[in-house]
Amino acid sequence: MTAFHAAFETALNGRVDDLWPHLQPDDRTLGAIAVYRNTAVKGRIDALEANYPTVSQMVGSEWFRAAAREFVEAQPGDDPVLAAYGADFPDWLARFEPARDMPYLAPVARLDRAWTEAHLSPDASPMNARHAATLGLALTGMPARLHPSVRLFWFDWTAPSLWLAHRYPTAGAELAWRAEPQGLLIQRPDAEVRARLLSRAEWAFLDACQKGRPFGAAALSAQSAQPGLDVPALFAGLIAIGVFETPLARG
Amino acid sequence: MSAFPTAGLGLKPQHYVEAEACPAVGGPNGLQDGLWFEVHPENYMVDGGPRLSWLERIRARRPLSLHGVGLSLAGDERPDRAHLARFRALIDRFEPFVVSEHLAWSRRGNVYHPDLLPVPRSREMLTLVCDHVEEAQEYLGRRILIENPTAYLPMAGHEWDDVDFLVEIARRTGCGLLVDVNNVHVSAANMGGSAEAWLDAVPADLVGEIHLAGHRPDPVWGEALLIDSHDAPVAEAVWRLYERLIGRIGGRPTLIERDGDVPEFAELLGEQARAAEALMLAEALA
Repeated sequence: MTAFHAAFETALNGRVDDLWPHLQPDDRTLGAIAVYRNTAVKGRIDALEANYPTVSQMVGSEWFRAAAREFVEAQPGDDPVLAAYGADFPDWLARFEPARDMPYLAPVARLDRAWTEAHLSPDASPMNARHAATLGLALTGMPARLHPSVRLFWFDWTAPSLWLAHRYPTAGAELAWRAEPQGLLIQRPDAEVRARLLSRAEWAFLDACQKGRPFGAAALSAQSAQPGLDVPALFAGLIAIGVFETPLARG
Repeated sequence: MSAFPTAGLGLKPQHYVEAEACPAVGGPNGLQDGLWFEVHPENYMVDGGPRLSWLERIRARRPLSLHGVGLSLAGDERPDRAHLARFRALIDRFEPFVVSEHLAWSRRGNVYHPDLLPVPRSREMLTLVCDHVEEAQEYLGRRILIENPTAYLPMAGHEWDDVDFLVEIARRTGCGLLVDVNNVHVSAANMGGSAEAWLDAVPADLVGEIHLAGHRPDPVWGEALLIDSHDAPVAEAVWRLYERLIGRIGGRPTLIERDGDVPEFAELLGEQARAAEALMLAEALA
């Protein structure tokens, strides 16, 4: 630790007195300190806005950046990898008083975060129909593995539609906010992050998979969510969009 | 200097497609023949995804430089091991022709400041920086270049002038220098020194790369306080300083840096071509 670094950091946080003995102050000195302070704050706010584009779009950049200024002061971040900055922003937004009349903001922020996580997640080849056919009936007893990019959500309100309508405007999701349960899948089976609504049965199936249950148990979960369901068709559909990795053989 | 690489561009995600489409090195492409790209490794320290695969495709066609902003070499804490490990992994994967960092700090305790913060050029700081540069070079398994900082703040406690301090670091650690000509210009304007004298004093054998970027007057102080903003074309005064530098030391891989208000790829290629022309001329006259 050096006295200089400590004093400089304190000055960045707004108290310049300790830094004074380390300077040869002139009339521009406060302006020069402000250059550093502004650069650091702007860097964090830019990163946060880049990581939460749907939130910014919904509230407008001006509102977003004013709120972000408060967040970055509370949580300046510890990692030079700014693509990962602001993981706690959704929770913070849920407690942020000026956002109280926008209850959809925090859920939308969670989905923006999930999009980023899927974007940066490890690459992996999804299980395709041929792999699944090779394993055949043995699959039912094998613990399922979801692709590492997969993020699953179930909301009591229509946050998924609202988010999709902004983030994937050509997908035709309804721009609505009402009390209606909805599921959402965010995934990146290859180069591009994709997102789509999930039925209750699909969600039940994938939720069981996420908990490491065997495919057979996931099928039962889906069946009880929607009696009379064509489970093989549902399973084939999920395989086709690349949400699974090939399960590991037992033993 | 060998024919390649000559003038390069900072690679931006919005230009991935065009950067990949640029004909490969060795083709009859005139001024773009020696084109190369530079990225901040911090933008690629991720588990997977399209960023890394784009970089791989572009690297397959062009030389690449990694220019770190997060090692905090002038900090009062040792370089972060986890960060060094991620940096090393990118070096091993992408085999850059040059790796560089800054004479600056950005990390303290559990806080990362997304900025390049200054230190006084004192004995205490010299020891600190040299220890960190040596540790980084050892961990990364190669020599790195250190970029000269932009000065805004008149500090007490300097025991070396700007060039001598960098030269001393290089002599003690074996690192090279990345000369950012815009930083030299902005620092001289802010601190009242001579950019020409700075550039005339830097030893040719230490310079491994040159940066060119744009700057802006401070919104409050105007021309009395220039900001190294990287959001404008390279200024004419900086081009003249650049020509003076390479006229003396010969050509070096030269980067056009643009981080804000990023224009069309073609516009950046215009600046890249201007640097490539200046390099050809410098080589012809050498």
